[in-house]
Amino acid sequence: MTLIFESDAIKADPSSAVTHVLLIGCAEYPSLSKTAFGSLSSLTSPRVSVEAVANWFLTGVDAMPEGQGKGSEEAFFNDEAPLGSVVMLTSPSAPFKTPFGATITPERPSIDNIRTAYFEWVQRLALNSKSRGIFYYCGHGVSDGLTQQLVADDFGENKIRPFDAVFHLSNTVQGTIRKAKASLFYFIDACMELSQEIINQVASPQPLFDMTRTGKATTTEWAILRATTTNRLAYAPAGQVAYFTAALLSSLRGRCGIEHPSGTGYGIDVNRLRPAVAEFLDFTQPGDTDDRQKLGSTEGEGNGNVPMHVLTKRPSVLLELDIEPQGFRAIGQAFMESAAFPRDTQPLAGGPVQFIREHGEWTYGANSSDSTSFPEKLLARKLLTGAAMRRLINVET
Amino acid sequence: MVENVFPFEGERFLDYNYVNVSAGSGEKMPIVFVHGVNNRKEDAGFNDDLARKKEFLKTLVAPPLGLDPTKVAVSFPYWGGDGVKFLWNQVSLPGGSFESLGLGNQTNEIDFWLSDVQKTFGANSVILGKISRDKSFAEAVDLIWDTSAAATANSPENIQKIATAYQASQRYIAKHPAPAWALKAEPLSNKEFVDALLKGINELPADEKKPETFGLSDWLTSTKEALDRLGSAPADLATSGVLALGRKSTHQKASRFLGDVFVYLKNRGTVGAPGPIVSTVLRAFREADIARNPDDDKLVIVGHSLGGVITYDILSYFAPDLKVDYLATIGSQVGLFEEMSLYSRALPAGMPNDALKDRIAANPNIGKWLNVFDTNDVFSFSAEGIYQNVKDFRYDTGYGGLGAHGGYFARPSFYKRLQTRLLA
Repeated sequence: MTLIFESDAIKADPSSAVTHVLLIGCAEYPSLSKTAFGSLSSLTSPRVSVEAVANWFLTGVDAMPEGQGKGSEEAFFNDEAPLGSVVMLTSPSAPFKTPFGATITPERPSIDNIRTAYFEWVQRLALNSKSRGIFYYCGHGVSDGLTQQLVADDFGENKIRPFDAVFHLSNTVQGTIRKAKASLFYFIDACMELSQEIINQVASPQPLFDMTRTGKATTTEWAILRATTTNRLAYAPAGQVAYFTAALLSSLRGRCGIEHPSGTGYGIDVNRLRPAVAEFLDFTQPGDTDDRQKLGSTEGEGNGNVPMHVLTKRPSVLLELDIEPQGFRAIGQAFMESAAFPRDTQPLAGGPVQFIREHGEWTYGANSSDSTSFPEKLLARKLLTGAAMRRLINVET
Repeated sequence: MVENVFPFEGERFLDYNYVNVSAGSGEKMPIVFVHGVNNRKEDAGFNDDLARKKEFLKTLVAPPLGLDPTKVAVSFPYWGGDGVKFLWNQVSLPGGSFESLGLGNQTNEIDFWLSDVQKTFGANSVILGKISRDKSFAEAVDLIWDTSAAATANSPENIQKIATAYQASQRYIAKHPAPAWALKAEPLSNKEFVDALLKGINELPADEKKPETFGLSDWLTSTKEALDRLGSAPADLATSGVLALGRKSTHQKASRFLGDVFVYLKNRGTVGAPGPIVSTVLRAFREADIARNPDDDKLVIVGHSLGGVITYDILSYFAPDLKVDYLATIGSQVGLFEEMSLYSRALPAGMPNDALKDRIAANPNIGKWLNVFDTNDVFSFSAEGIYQNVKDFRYDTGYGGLGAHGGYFARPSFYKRLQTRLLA
């Protein structure tokens, strides 16, 4: 287990209400070829994705030196459950330079290391019902057609049990919710493609460690947000942050939220996060191809209204505007305005333009720098409360 | 209907059937073009191809970089004579000897171009007015003069006219970025589109450089005919005979590519005793460097294909003292050779430790470095993932197969984008 960060509050009192984060990125899989999983290969994105998520948590006010933390639109903030700990397991096992200056080399996410880290994470989350638990995994995942198995980095290395290094997520969670008291958030950036090998070779759906999966749950607020749907792939550009993770981070950076009951700030909970992530997945994959990655169904229970992140300012929408026919872009302009804010105009000559505006009522449209070409198109007083949206305005209709 | 020709303007055209061009009185040598594999003086169309590159570099790239096009000189160090020699004249190629598909075979050149344009736009019938509506007027105009270059760039005079026409078109676009006639829902025919553009250029204000209006001229007629075929869904393109010729040519090009690479690696020599290819290219670099003066102190090097590799090898090992303001490696294998550790300069110790993050530090002697590749060009490679100081730029030539490898320099639009990126 590699502890990247532990707060002073947790050091003083391990039962403090905090957020405990466990980040796992499996990329190398050096022994995949020794097994029958010919379709799986090494990855480049998980390490980058894990670091991106770690940096989002660590650049906030809780982990950074006083006065150097980023605001809640850019980094983690939750005054109900500040950052308590961040544990990280990654492959390749290269040094990770933290935003606060330390350089730490995370351990490899072998199945044993994942089991140990997960066990300790659950123990921490059993101490306070007001805490939050964040589990993030990026790497290979396979499916038996219904549920998901996640593949550890040392898959294939155990000579006696080469298929041992997988774990069944749902069974793991079912045990966890009978030990942990905290609200749990699982973010799984992995495939759910049907794997005949899993069905045939894995003895039974194994959780990370033996836990009772019957009896009364100790937490009723938990959710698993998966990168993709059953029998489908999740994607990542080589060497870059995976699509789902990028959408998750974009959503957390001020693009969704609901007024917090305390009246201060806007909470981002699962109910807000899921549609926002889905919107960003749509936004980053324009077009209508069959293999577009779409968000999987959310597994969990509870009302989904426990904030994992709190914005101190009202959330905003990312609105991208463009016109058609595209040939008019050279003289086209897009604009946004509201009763409170004057018109902001951007030229379209370089392609679609983006506006980031606080949730609320906005008027947007397009016009031309050449008044003889096409009349102004106006979409008046639209209620914009989403995370990311794209609008194509036909200037000839 | 108005027919236009763009008269020859600028300096007297030079005969470039040579190794190096010496700068004349009052001229500088700010641009050095290092050719790639498969360049042989005895090949059909070699001189025309050289003239085309020279004219387009001079008129379309140099001015925005602050170089006076009336004085700029472009140097082409020729190293093809020291490249691979096939002792049996490539009888080892399946099918024996080959025919050359160069600019000398204009009919095939046009057919290949039109066929590739159709593939690029995904339509049998490519209508300029539709491209203008669906993409941009500028893209439609680029297609006109790129087609013109494919159809008529078989003489220095035509190349000059194409370059002049292209510049005039850019001035028209600057004033009329989306003219109504070019964006009609019912688009003009390709011929009407060209006529409307030429008419518009002629109507530019008097202070603009205006083309003369003549009667019908051969190069413009050929351009319009090619565009007319493009718009009328020609069924005569890419016949089996043409494709067979293309395959044979591909085989020949691939063997020459490998041959030139092997010969370069075998004979490149050392700092103390550089090989013949390095010596030729390095001499051109030194001469260009000496030709700098306080008023015109930029040195621009363009390396195509293996020419980019040779250039990088020289700048990183043979002449690390030589300072270059702009380096453009086009359709090159610079990054690939680094991945295979094939440069004379050894990699820094331990590099790369983390292939996702580690980048080779910038060469202090290289100013701005742009690396251009076409994903259709199997011999072109990215460099950004390996070097710190390079910017990758993807440019789709529109050519398929190995045609893409030399396709960059055939089109005026490429030079426009190149200078834009160099200035960015």
